[in-house]
Amino acid sequence: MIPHQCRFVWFELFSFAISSMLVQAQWLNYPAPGTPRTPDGKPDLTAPAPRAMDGKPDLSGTWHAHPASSEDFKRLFGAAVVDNIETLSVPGMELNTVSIYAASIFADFKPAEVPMRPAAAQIFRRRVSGAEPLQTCLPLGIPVAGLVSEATKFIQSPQQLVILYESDGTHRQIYTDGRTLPKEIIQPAWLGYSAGRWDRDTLVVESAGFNDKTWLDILGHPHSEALHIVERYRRRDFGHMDVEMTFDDPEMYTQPFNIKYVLDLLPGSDVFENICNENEKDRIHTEKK
Amino acid sequence: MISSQERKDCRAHLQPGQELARAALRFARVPRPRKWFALLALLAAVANAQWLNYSTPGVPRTRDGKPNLAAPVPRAPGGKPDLSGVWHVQPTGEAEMKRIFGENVGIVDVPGMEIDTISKYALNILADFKPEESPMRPAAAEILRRRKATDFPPTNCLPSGIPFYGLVSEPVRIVQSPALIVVISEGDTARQIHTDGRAFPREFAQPSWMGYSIGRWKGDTLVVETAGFNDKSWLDGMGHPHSEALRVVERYHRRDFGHMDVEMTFEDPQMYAKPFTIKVTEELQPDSDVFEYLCNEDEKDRSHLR
Repeated sequence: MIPHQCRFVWFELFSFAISSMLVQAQWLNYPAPGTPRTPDGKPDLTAPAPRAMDGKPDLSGTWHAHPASSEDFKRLFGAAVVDNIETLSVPGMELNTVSIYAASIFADFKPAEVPMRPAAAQIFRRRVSGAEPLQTCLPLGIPVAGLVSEATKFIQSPQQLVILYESDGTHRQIYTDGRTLPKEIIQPAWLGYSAGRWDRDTLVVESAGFNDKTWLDILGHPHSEALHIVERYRRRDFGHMDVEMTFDDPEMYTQPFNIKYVLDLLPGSDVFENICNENEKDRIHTEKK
Repeated sequence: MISSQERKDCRAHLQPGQELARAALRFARVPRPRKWFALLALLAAVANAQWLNYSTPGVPRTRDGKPNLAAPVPRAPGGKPDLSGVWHVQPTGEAEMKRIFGENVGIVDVPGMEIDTISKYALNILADFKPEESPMRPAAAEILRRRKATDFPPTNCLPSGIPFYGLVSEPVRIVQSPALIVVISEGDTARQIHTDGRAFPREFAQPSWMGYSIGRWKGDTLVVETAGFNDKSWLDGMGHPHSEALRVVERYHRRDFGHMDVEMTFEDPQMYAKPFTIKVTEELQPDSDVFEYLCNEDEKDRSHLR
């Protein structure tokens, strides 16, 4: 990878680190009722996936995207950069608490094979060089908000699934009441518009209606308002959920691409209240740029 | 109240930044007792049409296809009343607002956010008290006196907190799952109400804007207790304060399909000599939704307010 990118990864990760960290002890270590346990009292993460009262798998819980190791990051970005970032790590937000796809949605691609169109490459280069100012206290969006150090919480009711992202304090609505995506999206939104349906035990979520302001990853891979995402959530057992996300944006990419990752259950944990503007000190620095 | 379509149309033409700046300037000329008119206008809104006018499955309808708001209360799979839905506080009404707060109460009108779209308690949580009967302790009165409109947390893109988020022009959405109820509102942080039988933690190491809420069913009424607040949110637009000792007990009773009675009791012995209670009715907004709203987006006020 080119050095500019490396510098930018460092900068972005660093700004994540200073933008938000609240520890709220009352949220933690509550032994939730209904958690299957091993004879020694620990949560049994390989027990069967729980069911909601309507018989569907219950995806509710506090989840965290399975993080990459330092070695994975070194392979992708080079050892020197990774060592640099690690010296800056904020406790709980170290590099190895983040999914590889948060850093680059094309982590599985060889650089030459990334299907960016010229328009996307141009935006990407501008972001990587730091020419595009950081947006302070605005949503990370999909998928980044769910791939970083902070947990996400799923709350499933028969009519909808709500996802609370601690990382940027946003909430996402996924309708499961039978509706389909609207024919026309008049006002694009940061988190788009999501409709889900059950394909046997897999929740298939389709989303569209995005604005073009979020970045697909920390490096800055862009998307247009034409972005269409299909997510497949399958709770494999009590403690693990397989996620597959397919991104289709013909204006920016020559072909659809997908990422696959695992969500690990964090039993007895919760998402914290995260108010980015509170005690926020980044804005003044980023506005100067 | 204007229809959701009209409201949507109005909002689509709003320039939140400009509107806010104008409201802030107007505030400078508004005599102090009316400071909250301007405050309310500072809560801006965006329109997302795809959220609206979706004919929600499971809504009982009259013969002409309209939602039957007098139909029986829906039940969740476990048999408890299902509080899920999009709700908006029954507004107090313009005449009553003028009677309580004076003729100029509608001085700042943003379409969809007129004075008759909010509850009187959004302006003054002690609206039912004669001034001389206010249970404020001197410490609370002093904080109220010192507060400036520009200190109002939502003006600075911070949470408005309980109960303000549920008393203003924007609706809220309740999503009820067996172990947890989530309340999402336009522009405020989501609120979690744990209904899995847990008790309060023994201590609140880190007080928060929305506090920590536990709910239990008493017959068909959901009783929610909340503690663990920080002392930063305002109880109303006027600035009635609370301390970290605040405890709120809410009672939610869905009377029929379209109406929910809510009673909220506030107890904060550090700031108020006795607990006080407000009662409001929530009206279902069938086929509507809460919008995505990001206060920081295109935000241009804070530099003017400093």
